[in-house]
Amino acid sequence: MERRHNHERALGALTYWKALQARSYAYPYFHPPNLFAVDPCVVKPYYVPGTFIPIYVGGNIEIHDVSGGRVKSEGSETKEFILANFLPGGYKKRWGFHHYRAIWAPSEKHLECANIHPTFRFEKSVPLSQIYAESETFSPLNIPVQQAKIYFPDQVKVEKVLANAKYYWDEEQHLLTHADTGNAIEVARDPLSTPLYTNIMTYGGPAERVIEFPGESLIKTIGYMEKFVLARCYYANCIHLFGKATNTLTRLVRFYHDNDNTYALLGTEHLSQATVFEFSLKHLFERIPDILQEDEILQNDLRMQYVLLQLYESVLYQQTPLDSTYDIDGLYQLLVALDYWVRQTGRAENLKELFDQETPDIELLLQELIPNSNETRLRLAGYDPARREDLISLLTENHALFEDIFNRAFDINELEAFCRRTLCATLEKTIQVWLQQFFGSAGDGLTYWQESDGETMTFYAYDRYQGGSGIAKELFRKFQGISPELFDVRKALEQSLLCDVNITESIIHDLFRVYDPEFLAAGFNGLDSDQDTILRLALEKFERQYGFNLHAKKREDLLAFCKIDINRLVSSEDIAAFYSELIRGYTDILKKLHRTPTTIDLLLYCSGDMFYDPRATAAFEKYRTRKKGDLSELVVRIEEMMPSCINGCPECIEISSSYGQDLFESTLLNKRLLARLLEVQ
Amino acid sequence: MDFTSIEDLQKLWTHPCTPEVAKSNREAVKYQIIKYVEDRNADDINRGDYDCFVSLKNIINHLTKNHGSLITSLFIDMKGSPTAPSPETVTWIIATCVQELVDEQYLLYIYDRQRVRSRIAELVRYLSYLKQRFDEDYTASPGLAHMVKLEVKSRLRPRRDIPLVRAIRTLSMVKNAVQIDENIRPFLQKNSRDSLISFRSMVENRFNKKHNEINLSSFQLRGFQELFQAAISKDFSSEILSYIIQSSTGSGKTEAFLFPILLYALLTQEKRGTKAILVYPRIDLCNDQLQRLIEYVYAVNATLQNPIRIGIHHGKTEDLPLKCPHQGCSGSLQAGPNGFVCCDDATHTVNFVVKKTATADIIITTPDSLHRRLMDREGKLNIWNKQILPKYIVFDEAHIYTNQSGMHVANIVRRLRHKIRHSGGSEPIFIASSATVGKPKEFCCNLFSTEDAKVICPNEVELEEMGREYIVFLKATHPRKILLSPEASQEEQTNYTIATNLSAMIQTAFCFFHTMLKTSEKNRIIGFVDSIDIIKRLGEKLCDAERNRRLYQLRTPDARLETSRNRQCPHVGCRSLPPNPYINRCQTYLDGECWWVMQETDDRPMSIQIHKSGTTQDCAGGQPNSEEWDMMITTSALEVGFDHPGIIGTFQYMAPMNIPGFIQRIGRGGRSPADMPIAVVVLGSRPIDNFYFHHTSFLTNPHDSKLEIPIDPENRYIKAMHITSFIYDYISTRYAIEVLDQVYYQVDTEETLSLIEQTEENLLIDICQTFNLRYDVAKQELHMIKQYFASCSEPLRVEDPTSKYYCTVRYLKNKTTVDDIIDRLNRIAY
Repeated sequence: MERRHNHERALGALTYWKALQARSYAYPYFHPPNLFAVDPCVVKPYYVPGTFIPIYVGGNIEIHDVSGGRVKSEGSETKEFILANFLPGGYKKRWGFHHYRAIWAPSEKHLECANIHPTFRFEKSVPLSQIYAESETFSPLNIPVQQAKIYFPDQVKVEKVLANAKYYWDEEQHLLTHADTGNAIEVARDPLSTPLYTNIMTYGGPAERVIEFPGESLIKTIGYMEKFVLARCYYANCIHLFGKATNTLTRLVRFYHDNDNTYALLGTEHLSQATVFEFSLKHLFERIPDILQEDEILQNDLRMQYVLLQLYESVLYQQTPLDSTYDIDGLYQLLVALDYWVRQTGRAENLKELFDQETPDIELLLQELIPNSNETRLRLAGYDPARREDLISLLTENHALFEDIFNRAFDINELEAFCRRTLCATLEKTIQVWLQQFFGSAGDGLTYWQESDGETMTFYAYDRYQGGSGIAKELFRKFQGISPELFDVRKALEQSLLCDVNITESIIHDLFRVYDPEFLAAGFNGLDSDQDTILRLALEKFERQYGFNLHAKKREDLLAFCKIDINRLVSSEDIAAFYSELIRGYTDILKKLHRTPTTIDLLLYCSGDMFYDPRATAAFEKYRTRKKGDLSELVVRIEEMMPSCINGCPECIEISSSYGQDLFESTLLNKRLLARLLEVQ
Repeated sequence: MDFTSIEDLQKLWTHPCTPEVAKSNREAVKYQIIKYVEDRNADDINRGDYDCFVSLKNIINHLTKNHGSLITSLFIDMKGSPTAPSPETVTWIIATCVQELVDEQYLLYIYDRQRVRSRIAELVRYLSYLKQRFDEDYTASPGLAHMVKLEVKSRLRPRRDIPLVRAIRTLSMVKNAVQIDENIRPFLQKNSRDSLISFRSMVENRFNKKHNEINLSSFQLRGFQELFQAAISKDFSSEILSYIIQSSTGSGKTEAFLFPILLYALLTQEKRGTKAILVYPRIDLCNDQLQRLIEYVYAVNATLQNPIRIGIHHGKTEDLPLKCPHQGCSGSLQAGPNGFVCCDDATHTVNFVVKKTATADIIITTPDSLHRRLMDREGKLNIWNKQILPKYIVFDEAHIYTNQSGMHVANIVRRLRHKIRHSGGSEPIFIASSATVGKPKEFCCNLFSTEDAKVICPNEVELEEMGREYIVFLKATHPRKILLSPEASQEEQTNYTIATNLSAMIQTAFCFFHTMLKTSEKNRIIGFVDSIDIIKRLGEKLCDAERNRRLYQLRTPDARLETSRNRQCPHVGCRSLPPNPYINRCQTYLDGECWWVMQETDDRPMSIQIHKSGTTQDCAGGQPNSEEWDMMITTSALEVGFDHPGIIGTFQYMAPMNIPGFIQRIGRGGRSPADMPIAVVVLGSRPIDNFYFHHTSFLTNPHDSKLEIPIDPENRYIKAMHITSFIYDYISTRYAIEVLDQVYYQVDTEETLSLIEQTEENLLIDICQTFNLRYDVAKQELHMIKQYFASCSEPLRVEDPTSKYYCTVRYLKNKTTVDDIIDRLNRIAY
């Protein structure tokens, strides 16, 4: 043991001296910051840092540029960033602004995979089965656990891409190449990529100290882990290929280690310290059926969210019904439009009923929604009659898939399962906001992760810096100062959900419902005191309606924000009239369809329903007809008054992760569901 | 009431009785016209009327009603007698002002001479019609801008109305307001007058103006007085009070702390030692500040017996990019054996810039280097073992010190305070400076561990409206593939174009450059992008669009410029004002495909450079000429401290990653108070872009909470690192240089441990005081550190007691070589 320990110490110093020898230096040096940096026996944080440039969780990775057969070091960079951009299939302009890709080649052992053996140098590899025992397969790609290893790289080899390089996608081999393989599709440029990963906690030990919360509390315990290790496992790279003659394609590149003949996951290790929260979700889960029954609008909204998630998962993992995730939004909006249309015209009760029909008349519906003759309805959102046939084929040829998706969406058990998943994802984001509020802005130094096991959710708040820097410990220390008996986590989470944007939008909608557009335009283009009076009354009404009692400071902030926000909507009588009519439409749709209206719904409403106010009609015509290129401004104008904080927004719980953003993170957020379950507003 | 004829009015206009006052009042009337037109235009644009205008009649009504007294004053200045102007005269004056604004290109007549549009509204109009064009036919070109918004804000700047001489005079009063530190009293008695004269010369040289032409703003004077007073006061305590200077970008924060520093350095010039340390978060910023300081002291140093020496301490001092400070010289400085020499004229020398191996009066450094100077030989010999020790410690651009880096700085400050106090210095003054810090007092108290902090900033009444700034928000269309020739047969249908968010940015960038109002000095744009990859791609594509394809020429106003570049130009009569849709209709102009305001000088491709930290290229990938650029595209690397006076436009591509950073970015434009900068924000199709487009106030009027800087100075983990480092600070302070050499350079951990043990009680007391720790906690921390040092004496080979770890891995000058060490370690490792 001692010999090994000494060997590691010698090796650490040897690496330092060899690196120094390899580069030109004025004189040799080895000062205390170097001593503490190379010695593995240093007990952090008792060391002298050489620099204060932070190293983020996951650590750094060395970059070796091997272009033209010569090796040149490009220093080291954050490993998560490099993996997010240079997994096989990833291209970036980076060092010296040159265009790079990592060295990788198709696997000779496994079709549709990239051999990552030549791409990286690995500091270690671990059989997946050693740290993952939850199931026989891993990730949505069902990688067999027994035949997979996690490889932790510490060096990546990259090479410059030729300026005139061509890009081909071989659909058969499922691989991107720079040479035409015969079966390949030429793509217009290098692909864009999004890495796909899953986290596994590899070391979390028992929490050192634990605060227990009594009885029925949502939060059961808060503990602290001095050592917390999480493996982020990248299992595929999702690439988007811009076909020259074809549509954009979204494809996955998976990894294989040819020398080991094993499925490969690329791993980074987050070494940190964590404050751990254990939540009991039993009570919340139990309430889901009641809430869905009580709140039809919420139920329908969640159903549509579920449909969107299904579309993402189908395209990503089954490559159907669309070629690319980029096209999902357009398809989803078309489905929303169909829902509106079939219900307004009495053709069906809902989309399930539509797709349950053996041969629904999709063609007729789409002819109505995207007419040839008039620039109206979906044509105002950029749906071109020239593409209508493609859309008809898409819906008819994939009839079975849509039928299945809508059947599942209307299956209450499936919907409840989706609600449980949504609840966990939303709660995770809400806790993040709460901790940032609770801990002050120092909470920015933390990163978060949660895992759910049945009715228990464990939430980890860990230091953003590799090895930890005491932030999680300070957070735990702050919790040690609270009294578990008196602490009300629901109230705390309620504050996190209470979003200025959300409140402002509700107040503005209410103002439009209550007052005439002339009054609003005159009031908000007139005296400040009149504006304040109108807004104060509206805010008081809001507080009474929802049982809030806002702090004076918060109230003033909201008034200021409301004033700015409403001013853009009532700057003249015609625009106020237009938005007033839209709010009327919004309320109508909400009542009739029992779901939160979207921009597409409002667009169809505008196209079909005559406005009462001629000024609104004139404004609508102006936005509809005034072309800027191939598009009108109408859709963005409608978006101006659409609430942007329905399920969450960047001002409250919609927080994006830094690298490798989740493709469909937002489809799993619903703050109204959480609020209803927590019995808060 | 006057009855002046038009001819007489014209004469009075050209030759007013009180020309200076009349000129200033005339400018004031013109400014009110611009304001009114721009505000009306902005309202119209924001409700979708991009072809907006304001009638002359409305302008006259508005000015008569709201600024009648100003017009009356102007008329009186013209006429030289107190006569009220008749309504006809008022109309004539306003119409003449409008005509002048049209001539100066701030306004343009629209369709006839009865309506005007502001220049910024015309630019927004072009942006709103932006299409992806590659050739002469635009009928099938996809639109790139879904919607555009314009926010016009008044630019409030601290009024500079205090003559430099008066400011200097008030400093003498400062001496009477405090009990003077006995160490400083002799200098005040002996050197005050000469120092003030030298200081005045420094400022004159730097601004290239006579002292009576130089004015300060009140907050600068307050900073000058407060900070100078603190420096000479006997009672000042760095634990009780610190300072933060906070004002908008380009308002003169640096002078607020630099003036007292320069004066203090001049006052105490005969005492060798460091009087101030200026800390910058990045090396580029250190170098910029060095250039500025060189310009201050260059000329005056030649007259001083003890020239002011400036130290530059950071990791890349070998190749400093410095310009010759000699008045009128545009050469650059090259390092030579005796300092820096101008490459254009060898008589221009700078020999007062020194590195870490020499003593300097003012040191410019980074937190990393300062941390080392607290421990090492260079610090001990050249900073801390001197007759005079640093008085001013300034952390400029302090908003960068968030989270972990803020915690480190907070602990460096503690160590620095200890070092100065125990090296015999008087109380240091800690100063932070930034344009974007929310809750500045709390931030300052946390960063500097002080009970209170004084915020030195302009009061509302000290601000004056210096002009306007414009923020344009452009919502790009969703990326989509467009068939360019829909009428083509099935086989031919391969003529697609993809309109992406980047396409919108490219067309916006060159529309912005070729149509914005430029002068010979104010004509550059800096663009910010949050990805190196996108910078390069944007740079390449812009380069291709500008240099190879010259796409901007497709929108040339051919009829006006008498060129033949825009095949769509129908050559209707539009030389003096844009074509009237009813009289001389021009569909090209109506479609936004004629950029009517383009001048002959705009008809050249712009020179584009791309920059990231440490690398600048021209957009074709070649070596750039440092000054020859029209557009610079960069990352956050230039978001702080990059002050180019020629920048009048900025752009941001996609939603910014953080709001303080965005404020800094748009603050790079319009560094002169009279500038009217334009910022264009191109928002894409991501949800966050949508969010900001529909809630622009989050970017233009951010709440204070968005600018708060998170720091936790009590974080024990970070503290532990600094307590470990403090052992070396302590040894450097308390022991001879030989001991420091042994401990620090020879890494003699055995000796280090022995010193700790010998002086443990005193060391613990110092740790407790410095880091505000309880004795038992400090003891526990020290125990951990001692354990480590003890482990360094363990042999690496069990059988060889001489193979102590630290002895095996260290380097001993003249006794060992790197090869020896590697040999030794190889034998153990393998």
